[in-house]
Amino acid sequence: MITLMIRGIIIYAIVFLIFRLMGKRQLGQLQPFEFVITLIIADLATIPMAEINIPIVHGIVPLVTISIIHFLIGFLSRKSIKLRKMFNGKPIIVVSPNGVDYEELKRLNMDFDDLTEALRENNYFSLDQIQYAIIETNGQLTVLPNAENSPLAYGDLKNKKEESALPIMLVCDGKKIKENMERAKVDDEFLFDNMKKVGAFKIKEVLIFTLDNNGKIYIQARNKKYKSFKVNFKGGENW
Amino acid sequence: MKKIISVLVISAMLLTAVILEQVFVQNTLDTLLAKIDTFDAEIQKVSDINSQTLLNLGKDLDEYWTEKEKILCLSINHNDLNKVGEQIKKIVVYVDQNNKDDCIYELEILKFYAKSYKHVMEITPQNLL
Repeated sequence: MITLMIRGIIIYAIVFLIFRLMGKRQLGQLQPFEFVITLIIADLATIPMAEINIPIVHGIVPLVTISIIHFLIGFLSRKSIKLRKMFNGKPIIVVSPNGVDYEELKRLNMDFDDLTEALRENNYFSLDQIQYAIIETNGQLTVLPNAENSPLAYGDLKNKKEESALPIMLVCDGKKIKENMERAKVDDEFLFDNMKKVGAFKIKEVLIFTLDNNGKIYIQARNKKYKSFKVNFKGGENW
Repeated sequence: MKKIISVLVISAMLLTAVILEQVFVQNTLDTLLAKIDTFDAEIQKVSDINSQTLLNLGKDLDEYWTEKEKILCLSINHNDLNKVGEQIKKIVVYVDQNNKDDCIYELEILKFYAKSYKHVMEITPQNLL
């Protein structure tokens, strides 16, 4: 039983490492070859985990080999547009201002039911609401609606608005994040000056402290209500 | 860049490991077959197999396999390895008991196992497909 436990830990660690090396894309939208690899990895990992007679390398070697192949395919796809098209395919326009391209639908092995279902999933219930519909390489449908049905954006109101800024964490759960402090070009004095405003005098007392490029601070001390305010901030790098 | 280097290092390690494993397994099985042939040749010469020569050959075979099994179990199914070990033990016992017919029989089976595993571990189109 201990052997099974240790094998489980080893296999899990290797699969975890493999997925980390493969990058975030693996966990998000999958390309066809990535989908294949995900299925295979799951199967390969279970073979030696449950069967003591089978050497653990019978699972590890194919796993690692497949990961290397996956990395190579990804690498070659990045370097060559031709190879990228070969491995991933290309996005296909199935609906254009001229209407539905039925030939493309047939080539994609789709029918009208599939198309309208995918449109409904994108919250479009009529074909005349959309300008373009594109089947992406991962099989998802993306839609460009026509002007009448486009969602309203802030820019349409023609009002001036401060540029959005991404907050970064300077203190998290009572610990300073030095890397972010360097990025924001702030020091301990800055932290303590603003901590006092929420009644915190030690870093340990702060639950969360974020700062964005516009100088907006969000700070919450333990067991206290948060405060959000703006300060005179010179700004760090564009993070 | 770091990732590329990691992948290259891992690929190199993997390639080295699989080649070394392949060479080791083939050499071990070749040596095993050679020892079996020696044993077979010796056993055919005598009617009374409970001799010191055969006992020593049997012991040598047993020790050789016990030693190599510790490494072979990393890449060969343990059930398959047990079969070979079992056959060797039987041969040693039959030599001790002076049971020539059963000894020859088990020796043939042992030869069969060793040749089968050698064939399975080779890189051939049959094994790849």
